[in-house]
Amino acid sequence: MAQTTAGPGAPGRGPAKGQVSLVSLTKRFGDFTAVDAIDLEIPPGGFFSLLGPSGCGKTTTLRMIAGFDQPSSGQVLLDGEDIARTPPSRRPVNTVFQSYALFPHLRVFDNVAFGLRRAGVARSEVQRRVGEALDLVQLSELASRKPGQLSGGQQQRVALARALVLAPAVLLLDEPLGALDAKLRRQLQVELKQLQAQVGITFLYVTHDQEEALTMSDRIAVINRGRVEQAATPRDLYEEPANAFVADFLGVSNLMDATVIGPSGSGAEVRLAGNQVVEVARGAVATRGPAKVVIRPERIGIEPADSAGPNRLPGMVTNVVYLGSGLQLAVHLASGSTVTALVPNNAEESASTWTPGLLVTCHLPATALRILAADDAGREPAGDTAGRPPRLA
Amino acid sequence: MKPVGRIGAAGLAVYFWAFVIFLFAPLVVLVIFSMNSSATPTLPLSGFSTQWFRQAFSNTELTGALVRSVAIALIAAAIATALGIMASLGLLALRGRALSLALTMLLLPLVVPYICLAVGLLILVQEVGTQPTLAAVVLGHCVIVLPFAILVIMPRLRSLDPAMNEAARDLGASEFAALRLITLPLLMPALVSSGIICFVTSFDEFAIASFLAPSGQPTYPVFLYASARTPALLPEVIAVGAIIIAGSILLVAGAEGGRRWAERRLVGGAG
Amino acid sequence: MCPARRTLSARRTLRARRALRASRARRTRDDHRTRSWPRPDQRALVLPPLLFVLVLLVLPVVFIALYSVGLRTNIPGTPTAFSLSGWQDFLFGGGSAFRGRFVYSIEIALIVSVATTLAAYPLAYFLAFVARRRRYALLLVLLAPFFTSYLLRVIAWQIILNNNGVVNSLLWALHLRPHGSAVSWLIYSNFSVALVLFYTWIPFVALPIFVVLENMDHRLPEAAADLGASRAATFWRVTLPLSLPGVIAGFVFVLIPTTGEFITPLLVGGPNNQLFGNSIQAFFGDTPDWNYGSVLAITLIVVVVVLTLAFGRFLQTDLRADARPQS
Repeated sequence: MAQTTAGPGAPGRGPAKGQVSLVSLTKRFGDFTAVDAIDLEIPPGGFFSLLGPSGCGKTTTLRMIAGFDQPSSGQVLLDGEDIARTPPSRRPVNTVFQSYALFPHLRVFDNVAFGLRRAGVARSEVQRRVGEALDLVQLSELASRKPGQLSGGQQQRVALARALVLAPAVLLLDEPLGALDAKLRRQLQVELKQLQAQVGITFLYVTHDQEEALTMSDRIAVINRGRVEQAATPRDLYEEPANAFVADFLGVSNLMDATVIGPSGSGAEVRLAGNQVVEVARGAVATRGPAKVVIRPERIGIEPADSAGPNRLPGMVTNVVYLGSGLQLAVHLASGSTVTALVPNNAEESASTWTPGLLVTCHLPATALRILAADDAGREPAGDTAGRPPRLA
Repeated sequence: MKPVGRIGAAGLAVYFWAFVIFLFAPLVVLVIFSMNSSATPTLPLSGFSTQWFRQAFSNTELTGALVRSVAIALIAAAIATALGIMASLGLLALRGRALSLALTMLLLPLVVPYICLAVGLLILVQEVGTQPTLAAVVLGHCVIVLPFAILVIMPRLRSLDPAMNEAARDLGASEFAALRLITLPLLMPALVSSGIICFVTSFDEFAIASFLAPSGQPTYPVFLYASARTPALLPEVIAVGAIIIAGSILLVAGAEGGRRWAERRLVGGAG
Repeated sequence: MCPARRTLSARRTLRARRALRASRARRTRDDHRTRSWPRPDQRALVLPPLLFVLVLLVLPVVFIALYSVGLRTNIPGTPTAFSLSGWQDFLFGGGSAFRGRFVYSIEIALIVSVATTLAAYPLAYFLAFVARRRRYALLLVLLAPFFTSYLLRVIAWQIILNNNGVVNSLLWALHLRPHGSAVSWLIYSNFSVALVLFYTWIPFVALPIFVVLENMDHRLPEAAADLGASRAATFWRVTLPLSLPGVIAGFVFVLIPTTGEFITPLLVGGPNNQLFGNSIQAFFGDTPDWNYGSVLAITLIVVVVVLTLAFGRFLQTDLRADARPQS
């Protein structure tokens, strides 16, 4: 994470780093609880994402950090101070909105200059800083256009420049890439990530797109029904999901019902449906009894039908999806469940090799399988094997 | 199959244009007779003359009434538009029962017949202990046109992205500054429409003015009514009437064109 | 992009990023003040206009009610006590003239409303289905006279219908009638009052019908035609029923104001064609009896309110929050 040259902040308080802490943050609308006592630490200077399905409370949380919604209870701490009651105009936090919210009657220059002028900055300084901000997002030539004359991607950059020119401690982004086409979105994801690394400001990014979050973030908090399911690095979330919800939300999880019957060499012995027994080396290997087992598609080895060895289950390919970069196979196991596997696309061979009806053997390596204890149904974030409480990042 | 056959379409077109002629005929009649040299509006026409215009505008009672009506209309339109902005902002923040109640109350003037409101205001003036004044006329007109202001401003306000106000505050603007710098400029087309509708309605209002305007200070409609029963004044009345009608038509055309121009200019080109 | 330009923009971007980091160090805003601020509730903005309407509309109506039951009076020195004598007189007693006029007003209002609605429908239909491209411009043409002075339009009709007005003098000039002999029923008659009211309200009635026809799913008549219905059948059984809400809205748009009409009878109506509104006007003007006039005024208000409540569904404007657009 890029460290920043921190600003002075208020006298006596030390440098402003942009560290956000949510302490038991709750928001209720009538009897509906949108945000349910969230505790979250967002380290300064990184790219942090709030990821979750629609309606999970991530946007509400962001709005409380920005100041547009008041928490029902709990605290929003910025560098140690509770800003929950500070009006948004006074918070050193700026937002890039989903609809960009550019002022259509003002030129791009005046849009970006808006905050500076509100703060009473001198005209020459305004000129200079707006110029810098527009250079930053590579829009200097369009300063005298109006938002109505810009493309979606350009509008998004103006929104970015407008927020960044005020040098906030934290930049909030509410699904800013949603309205753009896939190619532009991918390009801007890279640019946003680079931008954050260069300017060193804490970026807090809200999205429902798990691929987007995985690509851009230093850390991710997965949110479901107003609670943090797990907060960790993208790698940890993907490889070591704390519960079924996280496992299933980030990519394909191949969630399977299982019974943990006893210890084994490297972990535990697990009986799957259909009486198949496999060894599992990861996850809650100490539990016994009913549990769930997950494995990522790319870790499943597809071998010829007569292949033998531990952790190998016979099955039949029922569906083949051509992804371009690989092939997604749906394999129906003898146990009755269907797993999704990913195999690389070896061009000439693939089309003829992989067809529905093909009998194969699925190799589920012990180190690729992971046990989720039965109560990790996704409601309560449970402790994972490393013993860290997963809520705190 | 098109909904109307060719004969049907032709028939409807004839009907439509016949009606347009019917609608514009009285207006055309007024314009024609305003330039007719005879003192009685009757056929056959007696010749072209602009004397009635000259006579009308040297009639100080008439010009006085016109000025009074214009002034009242301007003030009433301004007050009603301002109140309309406030009401629209407030209504936007309301929900459910409170919203329905407030809206019903604010749109009540649309339902009450003007004659009843006029006598009610007369009673009110009496009860308060003052005499009828032009100020009372202004206030009466404000109440009448307030619903129009709201009906014009509120949809426009509702169509604005609420995130813009949030963005303005996010960038450091106070609530009032956000209103002044962002919301109001974007409302401008609706404010202009509101102003025009309120002005026109107030200018033409008869009932309240007839009861509340002091006897020596009639508004234009009151003066018009009195003159319509005086054959001698009729030509002047017609002359001014022709101008007003021509002006109204121009205003309608201009307002529509102006509204479209303002919208285009506001957001600068294709979006 | 040529290499030189690329280098230039890259350098500018790099400079900009460094500058942004430095400007954070120069931040001067007071960022961490955490006092709570009293957020001015936007909802409170609705209070001044509400107060305005309360004082200038509701209060006068309350006073009218008080006058109608004798609790207030405009004649100083007269004792005030709750009394229903005015009401009894109007409803059951000697006020038969006014009862008659009330009924007459309702009749005229109904006739005018029906006539305008029937006449306006083809206009709206023409705009919605025939004049496809220019329909909004033509709608404006139709509405334009409505925006001119109402009083002037009535005066214009007076000129046209008068005993030596346009119609009569035209008939004389064409020798269709002996000179000086005017058609009696042309002015100061039921005809003149009804005609002028009809004329005034036609554009206004066409509007809601047009809106409904315009917003109607045009695929429905097409589907009917596909299924073999003739044009006439499609109209009667698909288009017309679907447009009924707009028709009723238009009908109510005319009915409610016309019941309170009083200007037109003043100018083009005879002594037998005065409407209920004229009675109210008289009791507060030429022949003052504020208490009795209030009885009539309250009656009119009640009628209008009842009509509005009964037909209110058709007049609904989507100003409520649930119609708010999602951004």
